[in-house]
Amino acid sequence: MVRIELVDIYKGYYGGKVVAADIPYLEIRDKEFFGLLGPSGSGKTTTLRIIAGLTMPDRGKVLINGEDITYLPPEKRGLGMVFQSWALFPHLTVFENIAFGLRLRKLPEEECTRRVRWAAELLRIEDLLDRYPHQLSGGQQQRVAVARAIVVEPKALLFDEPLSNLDAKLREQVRFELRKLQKELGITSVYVTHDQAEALVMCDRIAIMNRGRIEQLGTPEEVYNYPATPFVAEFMGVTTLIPGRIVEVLDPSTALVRVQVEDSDMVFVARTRAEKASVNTPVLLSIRPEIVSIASMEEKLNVVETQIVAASFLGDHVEHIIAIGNYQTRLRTPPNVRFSPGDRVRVKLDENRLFAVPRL
Amino acid sequence: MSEVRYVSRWYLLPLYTYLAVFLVVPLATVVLGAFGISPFIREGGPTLRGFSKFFSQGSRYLESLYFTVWNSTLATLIAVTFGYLFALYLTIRKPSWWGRFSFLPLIAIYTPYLIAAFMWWTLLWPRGYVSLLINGLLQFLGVAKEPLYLVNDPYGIGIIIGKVWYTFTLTFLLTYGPLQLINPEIVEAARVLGASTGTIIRKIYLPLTKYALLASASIVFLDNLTGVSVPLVLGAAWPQYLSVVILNDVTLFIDYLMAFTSGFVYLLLSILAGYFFFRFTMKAVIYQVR
Amino acid sequence: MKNDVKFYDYLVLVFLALFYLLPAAMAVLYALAEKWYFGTDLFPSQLGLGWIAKMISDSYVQRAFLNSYILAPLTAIATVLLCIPPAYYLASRRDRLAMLTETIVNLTIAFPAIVIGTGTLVLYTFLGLRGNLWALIPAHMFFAVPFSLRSITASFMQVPKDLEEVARVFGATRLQVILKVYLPLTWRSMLSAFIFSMAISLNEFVMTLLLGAPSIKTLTIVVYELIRGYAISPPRAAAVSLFILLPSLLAGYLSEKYLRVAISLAGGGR
Repeated sequence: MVRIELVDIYKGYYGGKVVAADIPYLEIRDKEFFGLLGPSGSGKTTTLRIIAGLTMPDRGKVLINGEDITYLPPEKRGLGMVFQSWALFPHLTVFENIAFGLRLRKLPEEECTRRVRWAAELLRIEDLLDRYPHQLSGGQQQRVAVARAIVVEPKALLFDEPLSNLDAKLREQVRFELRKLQKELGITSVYVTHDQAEALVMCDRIAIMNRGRIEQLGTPEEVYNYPATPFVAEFMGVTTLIPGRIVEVLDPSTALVRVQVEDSDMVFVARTRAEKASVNTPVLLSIRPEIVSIASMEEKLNVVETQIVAASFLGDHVEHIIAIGNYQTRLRTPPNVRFSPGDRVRVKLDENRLFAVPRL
Repeated sequence: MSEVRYVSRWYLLPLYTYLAVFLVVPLATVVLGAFGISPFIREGGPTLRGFSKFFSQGSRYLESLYFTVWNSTLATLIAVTFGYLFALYLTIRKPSWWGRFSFLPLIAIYTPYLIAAFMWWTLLWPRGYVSLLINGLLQFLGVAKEPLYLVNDPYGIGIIIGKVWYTFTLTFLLTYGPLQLINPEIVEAARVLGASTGTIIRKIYLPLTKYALLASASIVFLDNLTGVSVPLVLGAAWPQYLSVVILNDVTLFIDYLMAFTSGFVYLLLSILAGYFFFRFTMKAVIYQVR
Repeated sequence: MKNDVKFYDYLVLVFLALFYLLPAAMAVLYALAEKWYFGTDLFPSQLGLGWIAKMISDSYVQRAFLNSYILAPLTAIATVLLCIPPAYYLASRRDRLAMLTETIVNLTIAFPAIVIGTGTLVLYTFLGLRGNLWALIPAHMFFAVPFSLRSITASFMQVPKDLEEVARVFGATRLQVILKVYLPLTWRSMLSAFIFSMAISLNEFVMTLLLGAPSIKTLTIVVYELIRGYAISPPRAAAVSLFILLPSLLAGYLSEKYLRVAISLAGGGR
């Protein structure tokens, strides 16, 4: 069982002008595939490196199963890490690369060979053992890097954007493979990425980071459907944010509220975060394209008159840009339904999926 | 190959003319002279007299050759070891002061050899500061009863110090670059896998900079082997470097036969070392490109 | 834990500073030591510009100064000019002749100066060029050519080939291509080679000693005479040393700051 905890971690540069990481508490559960997601400079890599021991925090503690390892050097932590550049040793064969950690542990030769073969088979690179890194493709190098990390049976695995140097198609394929591998091996893993689709696909829970702080921590469904802050709402998927205020709480148990749009008489029914479900709370209505549909005649709830601004045929659907008051969002229709700019359309925003993000 | 690429070989003519006059002719003169063929030698004519004198038992030429080789080898070992260690130190520890003070080593590079030798002489002669410090320390520790001569001494200590000043700097400048080229994530990957600093030096840094290190060792050895100014100023009357012996034969004793013979031996020695330098530099270049 | 490691870092800096600055400081100290009783005193008893003034006004030293500073730039120009045509060839064609040329030039570093000097002495005796200032130029060039050629060839290689082809299409002769395309683009490495060659010329000792004798003296020879010659005088030697040392260090500082000569020759500087 491997549980990682970060307690009161702080890392700043230039005398505090740049906050690289500021985490009061973070727990990564046993066997969890945990994602650290955020844009560049959000602190996700810094946090990962603090866990690895490659960067020392200014204050705070790193605990593995309750044991304080904050000042333990990286070579003694027993972790595995896959780097963004894969960092394969150019002067060693694939076999020697994978065996590197094993040799340091002074394992007997047969044991080394056995484990290297096991890892190589798992990553499907058994035929490449005699090659050198410069003779491999990007995808193959990445697999060698993973094999090298898992072969030492580490307590936990750390990934620093290992797929960002692969082309898009390969990336999608490898995502699934990595997740499958992690589940098979059952190793607690921390995965850093800036690609929200990647995090959604691979991770059990995601921490979304911005400027060194965790904005929200939750499952992929939670962070996508119930964003805690405007930053999270905008970072995950596509959305249009419309400012408003809660004017009525309709059902506290499901956090269903009525929201009045600022400087407008439009009113919508939406969900919000349970703790923020009170009157007068300023919010941002998060309108994702998938909750926008053409309203039927009988529909009255969350129906609004919009105007088509533009329309594009995208093969499997038509994407319309529509104006709701001063704001714009998107309406997707089947390929045979197509409006022209200037047309007026009544759309409905699904009240079960329309989310009011708390605003500060 | 496009027509543009066809550059006439005549472009090499000026260089080859220069080399013919200032390289080939002098070398030929020395080689022929070693065998006695030169108008500068009394009783000229093909002979192996020079060689038999050079290699005779107990000849001062052999003594000088021996001294030259071991002294420059020792100086090379010291300079290369410490130079590489310093380059490693800078790479691994990345001290904060390096940016501001990186001009310091260049003092040694831009100081002319003779002046550098003179400056070290002022520090190493019995009343020089370094000599006083070291002898004071040795006497304090009870290691030496009499003050040690650090310059113009029979062991060539002064020569080694004078040479190391420049070649230590050269080594670390030549190896620092290649060390910097190593992807830092490789070092971090090794650390996470459990490697200590010593292991990282042995298994990552050394293998990846092997050829740069050997190339600089060769260039340093050549420089140490063939220099004149430093042994001349910092060396004793005897034993002396072969280069100084030749200089004396030409300017003092006017013994051209021995000068040519010694020169010939010297040439063979340095060509051998130069060959290795060339091989290693080529390998260093190829490795880096990869 | 972090603090005492930082202490060792500063210790290294102190040692490094002493290692490099102390010898340089000695030259200055000796030059300024108007009175120094070596047998008894650790420091000079009187400092002043006396020795320096004496050496500046000494006609012997003045001659040597002129010789040194005439030879240096002339050697540098001659070296750079000599290296341009072969550099152009080596950068354009990578055939066996190019490889051979590079090997031969690189090998010249290996040859001991004293041996080359002895051979050249014989040649010059025949040609009656001993004691001739201008004849020293090619002798000084000998040690500057390998480095200059390598540096200039490397920078020529970085000139995009298309530029030359465009120029040729517009009717430029090869000479014009070199003058108008290569030289303007590579002036930095030309300047580096020039400065480095000047440094080598100022530094030059053995060839000048053998070939310039008895009449031509450069500053380096004068320093040597004052250290090991008939009239040994360390303060005078130090004063004359400064005439070479200070310009060398200044040139070194400037070229490192603006051209990064040594660093790029060493292959680093990224």
